[in-house]
Amino acid sequence: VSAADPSPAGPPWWAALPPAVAEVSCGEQTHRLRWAEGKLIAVDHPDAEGELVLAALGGDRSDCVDLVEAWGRHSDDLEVLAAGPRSAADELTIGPEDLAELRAPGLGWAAYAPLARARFQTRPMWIRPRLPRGAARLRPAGGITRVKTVRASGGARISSVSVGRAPATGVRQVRRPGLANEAERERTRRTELLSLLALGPAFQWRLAGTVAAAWAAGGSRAGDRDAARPALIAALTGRLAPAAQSWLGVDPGRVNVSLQEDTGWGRLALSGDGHARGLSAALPVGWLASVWAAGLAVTAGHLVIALAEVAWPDATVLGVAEPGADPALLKLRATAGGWERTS
Amino acid sequence: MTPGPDQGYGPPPDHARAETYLRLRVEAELRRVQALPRPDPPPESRIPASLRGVARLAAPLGQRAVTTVQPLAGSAARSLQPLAGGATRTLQPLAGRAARTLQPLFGQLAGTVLPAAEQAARRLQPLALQAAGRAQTLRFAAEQQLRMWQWRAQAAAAPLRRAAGDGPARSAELSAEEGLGRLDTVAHALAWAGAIDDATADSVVGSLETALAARSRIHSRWLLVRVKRGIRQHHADRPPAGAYLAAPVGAACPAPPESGLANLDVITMVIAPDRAFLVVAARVTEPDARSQHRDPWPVFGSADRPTAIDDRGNAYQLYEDSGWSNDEGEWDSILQITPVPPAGVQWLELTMSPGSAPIRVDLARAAGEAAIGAEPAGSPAARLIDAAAIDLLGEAAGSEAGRAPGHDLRGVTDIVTALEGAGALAPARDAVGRLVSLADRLAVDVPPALRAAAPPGDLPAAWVSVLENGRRRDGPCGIIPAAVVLPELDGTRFVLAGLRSSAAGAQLHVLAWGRHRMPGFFVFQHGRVGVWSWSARDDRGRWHILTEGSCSAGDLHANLQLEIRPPLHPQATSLAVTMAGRSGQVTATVPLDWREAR
Repeated sequence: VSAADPSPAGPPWWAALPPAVAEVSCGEQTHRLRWAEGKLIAVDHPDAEGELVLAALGGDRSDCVDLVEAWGRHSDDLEVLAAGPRSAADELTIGPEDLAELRAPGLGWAAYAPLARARFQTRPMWIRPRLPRGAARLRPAGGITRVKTVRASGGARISSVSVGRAPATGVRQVRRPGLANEAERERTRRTELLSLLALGPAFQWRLAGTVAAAWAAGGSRAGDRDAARPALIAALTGRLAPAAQSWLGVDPGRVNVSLQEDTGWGRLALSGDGHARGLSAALPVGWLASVWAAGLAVTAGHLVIALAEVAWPDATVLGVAEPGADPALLKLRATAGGWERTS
Repeated sequence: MTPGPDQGYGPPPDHARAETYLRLRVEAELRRVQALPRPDPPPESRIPASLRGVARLAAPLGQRAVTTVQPLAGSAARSLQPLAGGATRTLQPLAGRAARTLQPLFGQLAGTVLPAAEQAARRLQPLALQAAGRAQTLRFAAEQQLRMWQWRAQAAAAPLRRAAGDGPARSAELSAEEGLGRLDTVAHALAWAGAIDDATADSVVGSLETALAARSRIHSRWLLVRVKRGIRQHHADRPPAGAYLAAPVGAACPAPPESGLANLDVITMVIAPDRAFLVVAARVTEPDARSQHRDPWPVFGSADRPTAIDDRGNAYQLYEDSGWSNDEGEWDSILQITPVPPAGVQWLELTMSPGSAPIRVDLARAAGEAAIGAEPAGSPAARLIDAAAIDLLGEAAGSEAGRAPGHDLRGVTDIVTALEGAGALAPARDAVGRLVSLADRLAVDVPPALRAAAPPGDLPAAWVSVLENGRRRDGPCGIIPAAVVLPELDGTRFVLAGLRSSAAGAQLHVLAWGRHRMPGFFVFQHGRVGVWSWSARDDRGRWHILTEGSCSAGDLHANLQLEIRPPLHPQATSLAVTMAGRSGQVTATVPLDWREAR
C-alpha cells in the first residue's frame, strides 16, 4: 500500500469495525441481534428465512426477523445518513417509548385520518390577522370575525365552530385509498428507520457505514450516484465538519466538501484566515464507510483518509497531519477508549 | 397587477445545485438545533401505570397543541419586548393574558382527558379521539387568538421601534420546530420557483424531521402528522370532473325573525359536480349588535331550514356552511344545497323561510366555464417575490395610514437568500428590486440581505395606483351577483360568486376546488408557500389588490372571502379580476351593476 495512492483493493469497508450485539424485545423475550463483517443476524432465530416464508403465508412475525429485514431494506437508504449520527458527540436519543408511540394501534393513520383538521394547520389564511382598519387598536372596529366550518377527509364535518351541520348522508364521500396507502408506507418506512437507529450507537454507525458502502465505488448503488450526489455531499459535509472542527478548529459551517470521483483519496485545502478559516475537501463516499463509521475520522491528530491494513484490533491507516501535507501511514490499535497510535 | 414577464426566465435551474444547497442547510440547521438546550422530558412517571397507555395516546396531541402555541406565545413576547414604556405596560399584560388563558385551557384539557381515561379501559379509542378533538379545537382557537395578538402587538410596536431608531425585532434563537418550519418554507419556495421538485423538497424536509425526532428535538409523533400532510399536498388532487355552473340570483327575502339580521340578499348559486352552494348576504338589524360576532351564528332553526325544489320536482335542503361578519354590520354566509342538483335541471325555486315568496334561479342560463385562456405570468420565482410585495401592499392599503410598519420581511429575505444560494434568483432579481423599493416607500424595515440581493427598482404603475388610492373611501355601496367559473389552473378551479362593495372596500366571494390548500397569497408559515396572486382593475383605471379576508376549507374545497383594496371607483361599470397561479394567469370581467344591499 502506497501512502500516496491507496489501493482501491484494500480491506473491506467493515474491516475496522468489530462485531456488535444488541438486545431487543422479541415478543415476550429478550433476544440478540449480532452484526459482524457487514451482516446483521438474529442470533436466536437460526431459521430466519424459514420464519419469513411462514410469515408470508400468514404465520406470526418475530420482532428480531422484522429488524433484520428492515436492516436489509435500509442498507442503501440515504435517509439513514441524513438521520443518523454525525459524530461521537451527536447522540441519538430515540428510544422504545418513542417507537411504541409511533406504532401505537388506534393512533396510526387510520385513527389520525378522522382528525384531518391538519387542514387547519395547512390553511392559515383564515387566521391571518387582516384588520381592515385601526391597525394599532387593540380591538379594531373593523375586525372581521370568521365563522368556520371544517370538513374531514371522509366528508363528515368535525369542527366545533361551524355554523351548521349537514347530515353525513348529504355530503358525498371522498375516498382516496391510494393516499392512505402511501401515507402508511411512508409511516412504516420512517418507523422502521427509527427502530434501527434505536438499536444504539454501535448499530447506528454500522448502518451508516453499510449505506455509504452501497453508494461507494463498487457498491450496489454506485451506478446511481449521480442522482444521489446532493445527499452524498451533505452526508460527507455533515460528518467531516465536526471532524474538521476537532482536527483544525475550523467553523463547521465553513467546511465545503465535494465528491471525489476519481481514484485516489481526495484532497484537503485550507482557505481564509482567523474566524473565516475554512476547509475545502474532496473525499470519496467510501471514506464514510471505511473510516468515519469505524470512528477513525480524526485519530492521533491526523485526519484519517483510508484504511491500509486491518487485523483487528490493529490497523494501519493513511492519515494527513494537516491540509496540504502528504498522507502518512499510521499504526493504530483499538482500545476501550478508542483508537490509539502505536507507531 | 403582476408587473409582467421579466426579461426571460434565465438559464434553466440547476436542480442538483439547489438540492445540495438545501441539504447543506439541513446540516447547518441540525448543528444549530444540537447547540440548543435539550428540552426536559415530560414527567410521565406521575401518571398511574394503569393509565399510561391512554395517556400515551392522548398526550402527544395535547403536547402538539402546546408545541404549536408555545412558539407563537414566544414570538408574541419577542414582539412585545422592544416596546417603549407605556406601550409595554399596555401590551405586555395582553401576552400575559394569553398565557394565563391558555394555561388553564390545557390544564382543563388534562383534567378532562385523564378522568376520561379512567373510563377508557373499556372504550379506549373513541375517548382518546374525542380528547384529541378537544385538544385540536383548543389549539386552533388559541393559535388564532395568539396570532391576532401578535399582529396587533407588532403593529403597535413598529412605530415606537422606528421612533427609537431600532430595527425590526431581533430574532431570538428559533426552536427546533420553528427552524424546521423555516426550512420547510425555504424548501417549498425553491420548489415553487422550479429549482427543485416538490418531492425533493418533501424528502429533504422529511429527513430533517426524522433526524430531529431521532434526537428527541421534536416529538416523534409529529413525523406522522407531517408525513400525511406532505403526501396530501402533492397528491394529484384535482377538482372533481364535470360541469361547474354559476348562476346570478340577485333577489331579496326576509331574514328569519330571531336571526338578528335584516333582509337576506340571495346573491349567487354555484353548482359543482360534488357540491352546490348559495351565497347570501345580510345586514345586522341592531347597530349595537354590529360587533357582537356570534360564533356560530345560526340563522335558520332546524324546523325553518331553507328548502328548494327543481323543475323535475326534486326537493333540496340548504344548510349553513360558513360565513363571516364585520363591525360594519355586514354578514355573509355560504349555504350548502343538498343533494347536488343533477345536470340538466332548468331551474331551482328557493324558499328561504316559511311563508316567504319563492325565488327562482334560472339554471338554464347559468354560466359554465368562462371562455378565458390562460396567459403567461412571468417566472415563478419572480411571482413568488412579487406576491410578497403585493402582500405588503395589501397590508398598507388596508390600514388607515397607508403604511405597514409591522410588516416583517425576514421570511421573504430567507427565501431570496435561498434562491440566491441555489442559483435560482436571476429571474427574480428585478422583483426583489421592486419589493425593496416598495418597502422603502412604506417605511418598512428591509433586512440587509434583501437589500443586497438587488438594486431598488421602479414600482409598477398598478402598485402606485394602489398606493395613491389606498386611503380613499369613495367606493359604491351595493351587491353584485357576480357568477364566473374560471378555467382550471394549476389543478384548482375558482368560481367568482358574488361581490359586495362599501365605501372603504369590497369583498369578493370565491369558491375553490382542487389544490385549494394554498389558495391564498404569500404564505410563509410552517413550510407553506403558496402563491395565488389576485388583482383587479376597474374600467376607471383604478387598480386593486385582493387579499384573503377569511377562508373555510375542507377536503378539496374552500370558501374564500377576498378583500378588495382600495375601494372600487364610484363610477366604475366593470371590474377585470385577474388570478395568477404557478403556470399562468386568467382574467375575468365582472359587470358592476349594483344592487343596493338590504
